[in-house]
Amino acid sequence: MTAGSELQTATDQEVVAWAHEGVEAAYRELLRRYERPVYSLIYRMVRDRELAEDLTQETFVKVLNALDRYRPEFKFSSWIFKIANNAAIDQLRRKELDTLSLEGGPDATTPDRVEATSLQVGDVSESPLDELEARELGSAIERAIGQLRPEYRACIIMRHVEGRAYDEIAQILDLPLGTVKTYIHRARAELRDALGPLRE
Amino acid sequence: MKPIDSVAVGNGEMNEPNDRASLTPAEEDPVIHRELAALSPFAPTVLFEERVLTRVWRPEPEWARNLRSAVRELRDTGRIWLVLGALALGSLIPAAVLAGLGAAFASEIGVGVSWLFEQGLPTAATAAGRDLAAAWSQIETQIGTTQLSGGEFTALGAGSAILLAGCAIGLVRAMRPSMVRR
Repeated sequence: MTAGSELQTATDQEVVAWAHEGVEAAYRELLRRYERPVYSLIYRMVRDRELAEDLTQETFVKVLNALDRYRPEFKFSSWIFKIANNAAIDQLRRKELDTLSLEGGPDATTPDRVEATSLQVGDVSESPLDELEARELGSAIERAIGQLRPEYRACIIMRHVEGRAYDEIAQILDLPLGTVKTYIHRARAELRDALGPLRE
Repeated sequence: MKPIDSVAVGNGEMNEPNDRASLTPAEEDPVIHRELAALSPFAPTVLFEERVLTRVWRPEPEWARNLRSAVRELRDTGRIWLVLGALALGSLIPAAVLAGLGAAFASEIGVGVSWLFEQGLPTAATAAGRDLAAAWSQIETQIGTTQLSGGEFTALGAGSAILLAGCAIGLVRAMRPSMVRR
């Protein structure tokens, strides 16, 4: 039987090895280590609490059910962040398509046609969950992060909030190292521009 | 304010040296760093772990696998009946010992059981009832002799109202999604 303290001090690779042996505490340890970083990344990407929780759950189910395919020579954190980021990006793409369809059918070429094919959305009052999201993501820096392009957002969160190395971010996002550096540089410049007026 | 490379990143427990940020001087940008370093991690709602684990297939623990393969081997070789027979015989031994003891001390056991039901249990029940009645009458006397002034009544009422409001607020908070702050 694996002692809890042993698990807490073990490396990710060792915890995964215990999970392979069917030790439930090892699964719980992986969840304990990564639920907050993964959830925070996805939440800051999609900016919707419920959706972020669903996507985080999907990420963990996918990862924990595929532990036998994990190769210990790679970092576990890179693997899980890669799956989480892909889930968030897919969701943002789907949302983009939904937004376009709300603004009129794809064959709508005239303003009349756009109006006829667009969906009418009524006034939606703010729920307690909306209020919570507004409070959590309402600070100047969170709003500025939310305005970045998704790929810049992912880079800046992983670099500055999660503290990942450039090469690990490149590996997670499947991007060349130079591109990652450029994205982070531009993202920082955009954040500086967005936050600048508040400090003057 | 903590510098970024001294801040435990992620959940702070990655156990791998390069999980920690090591920003080069060229990246130094105090305003952005301060703002980003102050960001709070978020946590999913309670029972998230359980919801995930119910959807995760876990391999059997090693001892269960070994036990299963041992049983399979016994079944395949036909020796399982031998083992089951031995277990059945083995379980007869303590039963026979108990029966023998019962027969040898039958009269003593009979006396003990009849004492228990005729004297032991009724005496204990009477004593417990007497103590309970005495305690209740003491409480009644205490309530009857206590006289509260108007101010004391008001304080009691206000205290109860505050307690009730506290419980209501606690309940409402407990029903909200959890949010973890560093």
